[in-house]
Amino acid sequence: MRLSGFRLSEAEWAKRNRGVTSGLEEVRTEALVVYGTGQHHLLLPDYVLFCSGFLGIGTHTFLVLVPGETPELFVAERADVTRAEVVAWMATVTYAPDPGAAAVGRLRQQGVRRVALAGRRWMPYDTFRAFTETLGQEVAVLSGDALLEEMARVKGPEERKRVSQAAAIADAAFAALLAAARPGVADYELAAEVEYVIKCLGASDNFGLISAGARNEAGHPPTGHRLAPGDVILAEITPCYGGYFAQLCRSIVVGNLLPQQKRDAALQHRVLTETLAAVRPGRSAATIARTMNRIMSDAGYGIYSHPPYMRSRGHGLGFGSTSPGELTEDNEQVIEEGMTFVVHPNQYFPDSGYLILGDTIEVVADGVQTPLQTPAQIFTV
Amino acid sequence: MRFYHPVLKAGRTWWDHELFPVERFADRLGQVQMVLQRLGADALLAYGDAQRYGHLTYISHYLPKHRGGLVVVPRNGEPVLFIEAGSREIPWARSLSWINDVRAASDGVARGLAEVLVPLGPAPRLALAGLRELMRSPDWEDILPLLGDPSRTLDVAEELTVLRRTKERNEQEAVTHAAEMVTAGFEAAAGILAAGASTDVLMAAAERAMRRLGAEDMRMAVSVEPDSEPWPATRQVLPAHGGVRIGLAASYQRYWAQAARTLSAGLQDLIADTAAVHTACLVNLGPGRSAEGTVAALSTKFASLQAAGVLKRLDLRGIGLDLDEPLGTASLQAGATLVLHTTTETASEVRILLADTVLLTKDGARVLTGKVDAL
Repeated sequence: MRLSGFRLSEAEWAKRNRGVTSGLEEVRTEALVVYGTGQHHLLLPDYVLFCSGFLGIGTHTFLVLVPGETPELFVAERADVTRAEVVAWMATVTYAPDPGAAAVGRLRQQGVRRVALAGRRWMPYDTFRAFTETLGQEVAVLSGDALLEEMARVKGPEERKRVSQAAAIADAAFAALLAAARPGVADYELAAEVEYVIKCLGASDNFGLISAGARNEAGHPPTGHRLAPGDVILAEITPCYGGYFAQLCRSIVVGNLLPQQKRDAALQHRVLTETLAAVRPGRSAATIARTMNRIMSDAGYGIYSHPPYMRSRGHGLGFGSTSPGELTEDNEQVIEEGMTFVVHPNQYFPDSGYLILGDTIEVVADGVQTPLQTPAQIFTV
Repeated sequence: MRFYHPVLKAGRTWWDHELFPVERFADRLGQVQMVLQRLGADALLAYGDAQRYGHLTYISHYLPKHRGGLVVVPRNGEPVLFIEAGSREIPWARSLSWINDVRAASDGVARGLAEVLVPLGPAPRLALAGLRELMRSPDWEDILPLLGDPSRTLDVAEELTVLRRTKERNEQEAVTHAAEMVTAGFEAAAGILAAGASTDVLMAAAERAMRRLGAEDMRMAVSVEPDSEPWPATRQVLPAHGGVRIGLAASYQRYWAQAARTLSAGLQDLIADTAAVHTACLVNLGPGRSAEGTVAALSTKFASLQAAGVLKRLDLRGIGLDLDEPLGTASLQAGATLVLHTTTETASEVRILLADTVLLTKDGARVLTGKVDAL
């Protein structure tokens, strides 16, 4: 298989299939319809990819899962059929210019009266309206998002292996960035090197930003700024490998560290270290955010720890689930063993500007571990 | 050709003030407000996301890096731009758009939109573009009560599309610049084309070449015999014989160019034959005929090749702020930017694909994406 490197084992798919079946039983529902946009990123995971291993090319995809039946994948692009047949797990693939209507047809064949719909929140209005109108009022539609989020919240060994592979790619991309960074090079040229390494190593995408400036306010895409001594490069590198993301956040100073940068980077490092030491299964996402904000506030940066300077102290790395969500003070979601997410005490400092530092972590029984190898520090070139 | 869409724009994203001076947007605003006046609408709401942003960007020049944005244009007065991002991103958004009033709407635009619509009175008549097709259904349902009687709202996507169809000189320059990036991408790919190379390395080289020239965004697809359809790059290794078909697109200042090439050491004669047909089609492109009429005329010209099953597909599409812009039924005008796809297939089912971005001039079509035989 051409994409065999990305394929999860049959056992993993069988586990997901069982999860769908038991989830549907719990809510006494006969079928799960999964909608995918073809855009898979950590804030907007493509549920079709999670359930089938297939990511459509930029358009609507519907997957119909009926317990005991072969899953059927409806793709809106003829070009997607062969690829879907190769990569999708156990699914019959059907080309349908209107995949929503085709999914409804399948539900009717099955005589389904109650269906869970996952991915509705990503559906454009016209697509949702057409789907529900074709389905008719006699079929009850409830949300299937929670069912998949529950299944995907905690990552198993195969999934964590892919997160580790994504992390290794992030490390390599960061090394390439360090090698390329020098005065005169444009920020977008650095991004070009990062993307090159990421893609050469087998990642399909990157939810990352490279930017630079003498005094950054936030990360953003490159603008054409050419590096000069004193600039700070913000490197947020987030490869997607086989659907799984890992994120690495580091700052790089061009030239020597200024005393204030050294001081602020040391504080940021302390925040990360103390926070990671405090992450345990059973604690909440809010606790993590509060830990970071407290240390920053104690150091006099409380005002810069909230909007518009800072909003979230990390987030899930969504594949099927965005758990534990944003690391904010109002998110009481409980951290569980097996969760993977990024913790980043990124911070605006009045003397140094915006500095970033963050690691992807896996929650283990007694704490956390990171698959990243890049030292958690500020770098200079 | 369909492409994977990168999840986050990581290319050079800026506002080239020299190429797109603020006066050009004042002109566009005036044109849009004239449309509103003609239709009796009080305001326009134009939505776009990171993948399809044509109407939003035509008015605002803003480019969503992910998620989307909404521009509200009153019939009289200044527009407001909502970005589906946090307030921290407002300075960056302002650097991309001429619109002064930029508001963050990370939790949806409903609350902010309600405030903006107040001055328009209790039951404004609203013109919409892109909302139903692109806005996520929960967000749409949030703003639905603000839109009033659905029978009074107007869909003006077609009117905006007509405004956008013929490109001004600065828009043509942006497409031309994007086309140079695409050409560089093909040259980079051709430079490392060899049996044993994997398609992801091939496409990574093309991507790097485009990014190094400052491509804002890009799309790529590749297919290797015997697959007939384009895929995202994989670890699939190029065979010693047979062709690899590559589709590349790049954008500059929000404007796209696109091309496709079939590369192969062993299929040069077939590629040359297809290139001859493709070039003949390009030579026959010109203003004064509809897109459909143009393709029909070309099909007639090559009827024998079609009858023999050699010429599988001729396709003409618009390109600009969107990768695929509707061309409508009216005659094409000088200033339109188009993509012509030519696909041939041999008896042994080897498929050759060529595509180019062209600018229609009064004298014919100017190919922007480099010569087919240069590779």
